[in-house]
Amino acid sequence: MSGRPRAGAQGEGSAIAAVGLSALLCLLLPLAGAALLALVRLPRQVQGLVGAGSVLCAFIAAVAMASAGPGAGQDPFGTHGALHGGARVVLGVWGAGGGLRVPLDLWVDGLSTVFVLVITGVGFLIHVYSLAYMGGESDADYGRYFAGMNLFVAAMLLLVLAGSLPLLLVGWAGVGFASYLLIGFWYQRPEAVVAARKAFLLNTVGDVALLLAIAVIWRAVGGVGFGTVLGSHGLALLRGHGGAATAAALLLFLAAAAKSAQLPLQSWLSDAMEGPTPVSALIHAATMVTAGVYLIARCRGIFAASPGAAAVAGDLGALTAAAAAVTAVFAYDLKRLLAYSTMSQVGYMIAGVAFGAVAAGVSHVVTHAFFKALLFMCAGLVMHATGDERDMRRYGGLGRVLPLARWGFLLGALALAGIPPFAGFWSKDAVMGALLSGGHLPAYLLLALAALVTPFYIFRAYYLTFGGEARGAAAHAPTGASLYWPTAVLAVLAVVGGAAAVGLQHAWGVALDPSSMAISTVLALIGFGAAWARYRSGAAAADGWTASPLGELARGEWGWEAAWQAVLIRPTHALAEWLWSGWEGAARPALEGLAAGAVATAGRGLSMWQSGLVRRYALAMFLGTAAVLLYALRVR
Amino acid sequence: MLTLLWALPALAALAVAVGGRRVSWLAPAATGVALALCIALWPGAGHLGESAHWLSGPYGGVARYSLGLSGLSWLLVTMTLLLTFLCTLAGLRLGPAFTAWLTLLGGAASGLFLARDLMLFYIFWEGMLIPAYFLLLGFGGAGARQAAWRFLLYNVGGSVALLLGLATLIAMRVHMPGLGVAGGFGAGRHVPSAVAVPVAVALMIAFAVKTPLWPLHGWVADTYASLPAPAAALVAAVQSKAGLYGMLALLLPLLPAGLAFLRPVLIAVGLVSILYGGLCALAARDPRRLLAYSSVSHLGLVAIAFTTARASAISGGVIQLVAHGLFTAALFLLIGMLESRMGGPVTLAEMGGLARSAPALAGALVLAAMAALGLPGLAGFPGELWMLVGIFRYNPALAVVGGVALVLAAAYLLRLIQLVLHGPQRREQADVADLRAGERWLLAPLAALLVLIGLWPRPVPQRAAPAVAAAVASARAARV
Repeated sequence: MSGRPRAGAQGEGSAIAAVGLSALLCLLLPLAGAALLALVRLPRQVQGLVGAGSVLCAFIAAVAMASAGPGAGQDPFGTHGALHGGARVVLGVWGAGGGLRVPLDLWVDGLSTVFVLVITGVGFLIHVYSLAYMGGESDADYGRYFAGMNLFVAAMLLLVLAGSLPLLLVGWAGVGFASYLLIGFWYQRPEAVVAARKAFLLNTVGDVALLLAIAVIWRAVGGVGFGTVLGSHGLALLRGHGGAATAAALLLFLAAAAKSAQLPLQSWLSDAMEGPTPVSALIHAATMVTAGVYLIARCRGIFAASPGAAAVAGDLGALTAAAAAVTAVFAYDLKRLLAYSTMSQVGYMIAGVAFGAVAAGVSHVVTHAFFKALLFMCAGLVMHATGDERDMRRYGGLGRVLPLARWGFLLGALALAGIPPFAGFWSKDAVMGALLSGGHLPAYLLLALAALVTPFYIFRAYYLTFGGEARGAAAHAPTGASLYWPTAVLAVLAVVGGAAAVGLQHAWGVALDPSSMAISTVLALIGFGAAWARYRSGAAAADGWTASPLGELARGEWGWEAAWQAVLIRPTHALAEWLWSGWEGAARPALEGLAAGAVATAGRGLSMWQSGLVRRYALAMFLGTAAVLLYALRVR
Repeated sequence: MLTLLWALPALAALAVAVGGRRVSWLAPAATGVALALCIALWPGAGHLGESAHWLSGPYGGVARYSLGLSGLSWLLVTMTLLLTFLCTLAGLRLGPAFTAWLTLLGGAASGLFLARDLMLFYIFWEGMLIPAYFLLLGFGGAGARQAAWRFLLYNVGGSVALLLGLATLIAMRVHMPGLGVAGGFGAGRHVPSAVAVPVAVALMIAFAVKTPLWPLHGWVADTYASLPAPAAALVAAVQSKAGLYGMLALLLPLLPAGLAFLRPVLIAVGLVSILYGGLCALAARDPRRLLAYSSVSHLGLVAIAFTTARASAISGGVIQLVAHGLFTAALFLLIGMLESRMGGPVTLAEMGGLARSAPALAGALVLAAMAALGLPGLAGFPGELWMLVGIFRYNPALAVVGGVALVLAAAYLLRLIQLVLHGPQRREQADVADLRAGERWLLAPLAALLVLIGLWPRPVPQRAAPAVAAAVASARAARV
């Protein structure tokens, strides 16, 4: 096996070698950064340099990969959603045993290139922002933070570059683990510990679902590499294998739901806001939560083979989009509001890719990464200014102290609200247009509801935070250039990023639908108008209506968590407790006592045992062996 | 040559027993030499065997002194010698008697994985039991007598069953197969089902005790809780593999008819082990018992994988045997380091916030626990992948239960690391020292292997492939 990338099935040898080398570099640089930061105690400046520098180098490698390889403009799908035209970088065999052979391949095509560029590009900006944001931590914790961030970037890159499902799962679980470490970064806070555990467990459910999906696919197709499974031959096998496509698609969706915080596995994301805010920006807004979108997009062919499963996934995504948007309306905690907003926006993406509008869904990943990371960075500035206050009822009037955060948040809000010509509009409307023309009416209506509510909740947050008079939290502007210039870059992207979305859609052969564009614009303006009418004063009184019982229910996430606790978690612990004290603690020892008594009674006649010297046991054993042997030989 | 792999540790044990503390260093040194030798034999794995007549005269041919180094044996012996080496080093301060028994245990385990004769297999089996018993009796903490009594009750019962089963096979002139070692060994004769079924039941009782599988797991929690940590590490990591190795080395190739008869029972036992062990681990009050029950859960899945007699599942089971040995040893050694800082056994309720004062210890514990819960990218995952995918092909519902076990494992192992490391720091734990240099070097090889096997597992199933193929082939041949 060779360590060098070799030419795969498609493309020219030298081009593949260049793609493979840059993809490999892109993958290994952050991994090396993480290892270095975790194992070696470095001076503080060097820690920051390694942390941010490795991601910058990865970004450069990603650009090289995009220019040498198929590039972001390459439509990765052929007929029936089969993969088409990607570059397969063969590195060897990851493992083989009993017919399951897992190739150590990377897969570079338009889809992975888009994700790699977003992960490394936005990731780099957030690393730079973190340099100052995490400046208050001790040296050891500073290094631990960047080790976790670099590990996350490496795992996320593996997730989107892997050329086989098990390798994808390694990256998939790796981002979950890095997310666990970073949610629980302040591990002395009990809330952070609980939130980290919850996130990890729900993500493990997703990992297991993906593992079972691999089992279904291997049974039907006999392979796990993308070229085998997601090519037209593999998909035909999957379709021909009664029910396999549906089972695989449903399991893949369950995995995606866990990672992307979609119903029914959504509830970890809002708690994950216990982590440092740049973590929320990188992991819980821009990248990790879009991994589910990537998975469904990558396995487009499997969902195409099972329209029923695709509809389940798409409808649940749309339902999440609407439900989370409504929940966000009632939130008091600014970060939780942004988390609900993320769930809602990822719901759009899931609905898009599940119903086959892959270009639309993926372009929304790109614009969302810009504007949601921007919103989180502005929220981070607000929190730094107010001593980690997260309750919007104690904000107010912060626009005067934090002009850049205010303008950044405003641009991000306009992009999120889907108001043209800001970035979000172009991608969000592409999803809605595709659903409308595809005839997926229930999902479209849910998304339309979300589109109506989104401007309302985000401008409610904007006015309550930056408008009106100060309401308690004393504010002073945080210092550090590295907090501000990444925010500014993202603010520009939130304005003009729509061009990237439209370019991607154009290259992948999707056109915007003018009638849908008109409806979306009207919805956005109505939502914005309502927020403006109610909240433009920025006064707390305007928000009085959210204190209703309905608001309480929404802030309690509609009792979802309590229901899980009652139905699954508490019974499991009760059963475990019962087994532990009832069976292991009492019943088993009693049975053992009985058995020992029986042995003692049976052996009473033998003086050998009566002596009670256990040391004779060994001798007895060997003599017994000899006796049985001799007897057996005689019989023969 | 192969003899040295078990005899070097055994002789060193003898020397230490006679020579006392002054020569204690001989034990890890000899084990280290054996380990180096074993690693040097890497290219020879698969065609190294040695054989000598043992009983001559009319009984010749019944029992031979036969050793064979298949790829599978190589993996298990290397693991055993590495862990014996590390555990004897970790336990040197406990005195020469401890070191001698521990080294003897390691030597016997190496011999067991090399034996290619039924009689020899039995002798090494007993050779593991006796040191474990005396370690428990002589060096166990509070409640050691009770634990030793339990240990004996179950394990002697298992040994008697094993002896009866093996003696029947020996009397029928059945030879142990080479298990992937080419030439010099019998292909393994099938046993008629009238005999195969009772013999398989007898052997399986012994294997289930040793592994342990529910409902014969009664000895394991007390034993792992009472033994000094280095001994608990070796017993939990290595001795527990003897039973599952026995399934692969004897049950599958020699007694396919017995396996077919037992299959529903074994699957039920495996399923209960997985869930029962997982739930008990979730409720456990102290780290050692938590790990004991987690072993029941983990190894129950391996037992199911072997029972399916499918090459993919068995490959996964073999990877998991190696991985489980590594992460279990690492976890027990870490718990031991923790206890030596706290001045005795600890319960989970009295721990908290240790990551602040001992970050390196915390990092190592997180790594080992993540490997144990099967986090992809670490050594625990490839085994789970191959097992579950193979078991799914055999029966999808079983694989789903295996998936539930993975979620349970995440739950109880997170409970372990979070209760010990995270949360507010306890005042009395504020000055707990971090890992010393010696402890770091002890853990480094384990940590490195956990990462390496996780990132590139290929060599493990590749080594084991001939043995797996041999076991599956004879199990299949009988089914036709």
